[in-house]
Amino acid sequence: MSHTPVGKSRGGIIAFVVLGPFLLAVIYPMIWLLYTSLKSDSEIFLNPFALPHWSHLHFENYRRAWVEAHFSNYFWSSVVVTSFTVMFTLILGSMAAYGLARFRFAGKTALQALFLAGLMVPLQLSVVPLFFQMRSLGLLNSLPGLIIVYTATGLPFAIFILTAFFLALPQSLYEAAVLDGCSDLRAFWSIMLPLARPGLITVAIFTGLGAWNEYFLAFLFLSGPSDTGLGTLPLGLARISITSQFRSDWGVTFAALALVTLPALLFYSLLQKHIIKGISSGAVKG
Amino acid sequence: MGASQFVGWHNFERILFESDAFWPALGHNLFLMVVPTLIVLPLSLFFAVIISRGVRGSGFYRVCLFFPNILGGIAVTLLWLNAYEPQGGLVNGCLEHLGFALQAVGLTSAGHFLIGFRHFAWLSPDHLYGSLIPMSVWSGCGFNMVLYLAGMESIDESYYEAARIDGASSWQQFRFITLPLIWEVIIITLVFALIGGLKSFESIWLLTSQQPTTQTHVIGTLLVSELFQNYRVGDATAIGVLLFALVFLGTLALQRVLTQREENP
Repeated sequence: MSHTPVGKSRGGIIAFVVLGPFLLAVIYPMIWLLYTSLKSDSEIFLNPFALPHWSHLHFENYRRAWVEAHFSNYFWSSVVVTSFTVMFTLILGSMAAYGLARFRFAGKTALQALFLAGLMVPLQLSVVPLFFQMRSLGLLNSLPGLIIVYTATGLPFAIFILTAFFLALPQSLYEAAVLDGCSDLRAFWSIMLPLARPGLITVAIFTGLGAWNEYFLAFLFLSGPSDTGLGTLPLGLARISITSQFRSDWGVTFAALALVTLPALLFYSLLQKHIIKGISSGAVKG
Repeated sequence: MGASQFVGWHNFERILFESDAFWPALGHNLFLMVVPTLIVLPLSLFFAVIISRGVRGSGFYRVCLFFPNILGGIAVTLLWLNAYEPQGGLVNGCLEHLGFALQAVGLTSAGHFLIGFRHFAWLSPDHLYGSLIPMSVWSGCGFNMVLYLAGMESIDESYYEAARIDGASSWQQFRFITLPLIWEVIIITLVFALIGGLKSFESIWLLTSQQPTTQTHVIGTLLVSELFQNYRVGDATAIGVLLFALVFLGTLALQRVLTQREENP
């Protein structure tokens, strides 16, 4: 420790004094949420801060959220919707981006502009026509319908990121592959795609996070009878805390919130380097 | 739908001149675009400056403060919905404890003030928008800070060395090296914040228990409630088009400002 320059250690103290309280304010509510989920309603109401009694941990809050409040349905729906959205976005996005980056064809500029517009136009503009379109296609209140919408809204971002990645790969690599007898598809699949891996990971993380946390579209397109438990996690969470009979049932509400927070925490602790790096490089490259 | 009939500007006239909900809602969007942004962006920049010089644990701060972004808007909003609960909620409980602590050390009036929040209804229509500010600070600072730090880390250290040799103070180093070099990143965060304020839906929708009133609507919630609660498709579409026009004009204006800046830096 004696090797630390004076300026550095003083900077550390300033950071601790200024950022410490803010850090506490960010972290404590989540810890509060986790341990409150193990208390009974009366315990929560009488003393919101106290830790639960070790002898009376109310794990049944979790069981009730999972079973009675249909949380298992919401959870698995979210898993299905998120994984299919990521899969379709990666397949379609990488192929479209590769085409745009590698080949020249009529209407390419217009197509590129169209994808870029998808990135700019706010979703709220398109929801009214989209709603009626989905209704006439019979895709309302169905998970495949939601997956189609998520894929469509996620594609512009994926294409934007992946085009940049494919453009950065040298043209000579493609030419060498073709000389050795690779078909276009083979060159794409065995050579270009593995090289664009970091881009694919970034797209997968952000598309996945987006689909996992999305509420607005899920609320519009899965607004059918709520007691059936049709819906994704954000939708279910909102139903449990606001509309259903669990509204004043704090134990279940907190357990449900904890069930959303814990996987996010796990996911984040595994991938935080990737996520922070993805965000950071995006900002610096503009 | 039945046969549709061309009504000219009728829907727009109704929204713009007859409805008592549109203009207040637009005002709320403006509030969300401006007020939280003015607090969150400078604060994040301040935090970024403090930990940019590689202090111990800077990675830890970064990772922890970013976490609310992973949690997502719904979980964050519902966490705050519970924290703002007048009785048994975290916020009023904290203020009350802090008040008693202040009284114990002799600061009677300050303590009394804080204890006065005991049953304060943070989410009542009168206080809702004020209560959204701590929420956006809580969830927004980490994201912006990570972006600023990325910008600062890409600055060549030799600039600072040269400035120090010339005797520049830390403020001057910040003002004349850091700030100009991360200006683009600041603009990006500004654009994100403005668009976020214009598009806000979830927080208002959920904190008002899916029943916003004229007093609490934003454009997004107004659109959804016209469509789903009042079944007025024409009005909802007109609101959507107006929103698009606003975003379009806003982007255009911003682009103009930005290119002007690039031409004469």
